[in-house]
Amino acid sequence: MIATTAVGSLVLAGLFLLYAAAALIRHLARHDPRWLESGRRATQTAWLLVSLALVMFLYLIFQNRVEFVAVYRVTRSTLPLAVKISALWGGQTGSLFFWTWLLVGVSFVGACLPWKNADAEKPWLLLFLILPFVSYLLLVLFLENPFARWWMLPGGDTLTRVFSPGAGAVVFYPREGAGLNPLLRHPAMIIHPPMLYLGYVLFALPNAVGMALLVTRRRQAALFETLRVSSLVGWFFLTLGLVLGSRWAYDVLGWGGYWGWDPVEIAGLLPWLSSSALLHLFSLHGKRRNIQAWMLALVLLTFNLVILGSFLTRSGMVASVHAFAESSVGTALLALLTLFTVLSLAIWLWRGRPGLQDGTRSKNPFWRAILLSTAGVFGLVLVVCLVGLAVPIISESLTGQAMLVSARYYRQATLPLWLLLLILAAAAPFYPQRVLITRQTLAAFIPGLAAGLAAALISFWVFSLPWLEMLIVFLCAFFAASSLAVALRDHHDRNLIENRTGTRGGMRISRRAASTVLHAGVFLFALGVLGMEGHQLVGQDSVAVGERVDVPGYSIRLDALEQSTTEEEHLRTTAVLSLFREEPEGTQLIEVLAPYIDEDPGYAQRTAVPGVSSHLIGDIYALLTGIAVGNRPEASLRLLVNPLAGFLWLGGLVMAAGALLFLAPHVFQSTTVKRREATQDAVAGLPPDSWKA
Amino acid sequence: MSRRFPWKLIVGTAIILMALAVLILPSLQSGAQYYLTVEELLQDPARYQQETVRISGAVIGDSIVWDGAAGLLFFTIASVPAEREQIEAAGGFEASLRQAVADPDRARIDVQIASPPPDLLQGEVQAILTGRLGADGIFNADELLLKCPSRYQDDQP
Repeated sequence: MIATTAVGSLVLAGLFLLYAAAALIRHLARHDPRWLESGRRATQTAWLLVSLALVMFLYLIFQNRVEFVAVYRVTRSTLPLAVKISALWGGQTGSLFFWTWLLVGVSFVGACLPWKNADAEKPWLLLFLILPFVSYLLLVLFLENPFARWWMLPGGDTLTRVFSPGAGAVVFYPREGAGLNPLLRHPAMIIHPPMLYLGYVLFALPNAVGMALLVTRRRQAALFETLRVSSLVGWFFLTLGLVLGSRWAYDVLGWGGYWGWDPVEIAGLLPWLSSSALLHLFSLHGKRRNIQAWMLALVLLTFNLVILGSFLTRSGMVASVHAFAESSVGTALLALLTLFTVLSLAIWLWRGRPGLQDGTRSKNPFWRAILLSTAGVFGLVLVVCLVGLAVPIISESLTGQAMLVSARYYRQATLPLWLLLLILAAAAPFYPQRVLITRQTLAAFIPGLAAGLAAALISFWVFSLPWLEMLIVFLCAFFAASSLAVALRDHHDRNLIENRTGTRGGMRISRRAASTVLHAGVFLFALGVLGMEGHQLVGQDSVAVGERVDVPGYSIRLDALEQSTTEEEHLRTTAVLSLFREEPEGTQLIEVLAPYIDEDPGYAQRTAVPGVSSHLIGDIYALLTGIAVGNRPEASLRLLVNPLAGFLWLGGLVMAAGALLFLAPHVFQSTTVKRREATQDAVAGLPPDSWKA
Repeated sequence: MSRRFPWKLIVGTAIILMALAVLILPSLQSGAQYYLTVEELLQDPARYQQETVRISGAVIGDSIVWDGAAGLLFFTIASVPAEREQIEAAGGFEASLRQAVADPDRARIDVQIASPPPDLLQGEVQAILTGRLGADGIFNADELLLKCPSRYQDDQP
């Protein structure tokens, strides 16, 4: 009964969306607002129906109804509750269903928003929202139905169908579910997919707005503002999702690395790159036709890259730890991708492409150059990644011999580009100062330069860093000192304004503050990369109880090997280790670590979970890789020292926080309207070359 | 306004293309690898001793040996066809892996890698290895990627 209701709900949702599309088209033909309203309501109802089906699916998971194939593959009765929630996105079927629900949710949001002064665009944008959603819903219904069950035929064979195949078949109830892949049972795995998926699907909204703007050709300023806000929100979730995924890999995949240039990781990075480029273009206050054309191109590109990502992950075409099984969804997604790419390209070329001439002179050519260069460099990284992904496909068709690229290709090709981005980011504190060489800018530039040089010299003399790392340290220190100087000046100016207008306090968060926080996150992340790439130490050995494994500066001593059975009936072997640091005064005990190996009989698989000692200056990571039993039990241990690893996660989170700060003025807008009028008068009275925050 | 020759566009495009060429081509040289089956590798061993290649095959479970003291992992992989038609003819990916391990006439190669056994390493799993063929016929791997068996479509509960 549940299967019928749920599937019926999904089918009904699909029908509502198709009706909505028809109603919107009719509105466009007849200009009758009642059809628009009808279409809008149908879209909202569709999401409610999909939500109903999702709730039923969750119910099936929690009730351990393993006769449903999708439930069987990802759950077991012994799983704890929190892990069961993440079972929703633990397999191909569930995750596609979750993705579709989120996508239809975005259309719900689109249908609920008022879209003031956008009457011409509204039907188009709803149409362009419905188009991908109907496609994914059809995929879910016909190719990866979450409500398919096991059926046993009279002959003893089992097969999977949504409804009874007839001929005397009965529902088959397996004794126990397969359980969730042990690698997925990690806190980051509980939030990484939802954050990442949210980031992906949220770009459907700017995509629809962008397409609508291209069709109506109206260049509505309010809609560009919506583009900016929705892209920021999408970027926020993408950044969080990528950072969490990186953290999961670091903890769980046992190699202490944070980014493997795995094709699926790259597929997730691509929309992040194009949206980062896009966000920098928004700072150009693009009323100018050409900038707007490129902005719209990036908006459309980002969503197409999202679909490309879902295709690469689910088609089984790429060899990756992430790739889901090869399934029929792959072909369908390829068709969808082709359709969208052709449609987006056609509309952009027909209605929105930039002219060859530039038009009027820019008022601020320096910042225009910097921001365009930043967007351009992100674009170059994007092209490098796309080439890397395309090599297997192209090489096989051209030479008949399959080739692919290793992580080395990506590292080598993108390193100069990341450095260039870091250099450009160091200019962020000075934006948007129009006159470059004034007393005020020098008041920030000189401390920055001094701090940068000091840090570089210290890193050379004390730490003997290579020149590349010295450059990064220089840029970080420069950014930190100049941001501080600018912030102090801003604070001083704000006090001046408040004294003159008589207003106090308030939560007005300037764009400069938001930009500083966001780019501070970038520099923190860069420091984390510096530590991990340049200074990671690895030690490995097979030791008996009482013996040690050493790396320069640290050692671990095996104190005991313990065996136990977990509540999920796994056999667990734990190595109790003492972690020591070599100090000039002697060896210092830092912490006791307990890495272990879990043997999961259901999955016939072992999971090694590391013991980690985390500090701001770095992580120490101890892994139990094997046990040799015998007269003298030995444990194979691997010791990793990862300097500045914490900066990676901190940097990522600070970047995301910066994005939130960019959104904050929207939250506090109404309260600052009165202050703004007063502020403008006061600002007019300030000296001409001061910061205008 | 008359249309002047679009110098900026041409120069800009040229710079971008040059930058891409400078970045991508040398990196492709050092980073691109042949992706071979075990059978293809063994057909021309002399050639593949000179360069880093990527091979894939099915892990033979009984062959997995971990030498903790030396930090070396040894196992044997059997050749699995790369063509989709052949895989489908065998009955799907998981079936083709199983057949590769069970078939005594299938081309096999011994692998050695300085890494502790990954959690996914077990029999009938697809292993994707990057490395070089040694003169002694053992494949010295630098990187090992395993495709998780639970990801395969499992139609039998």
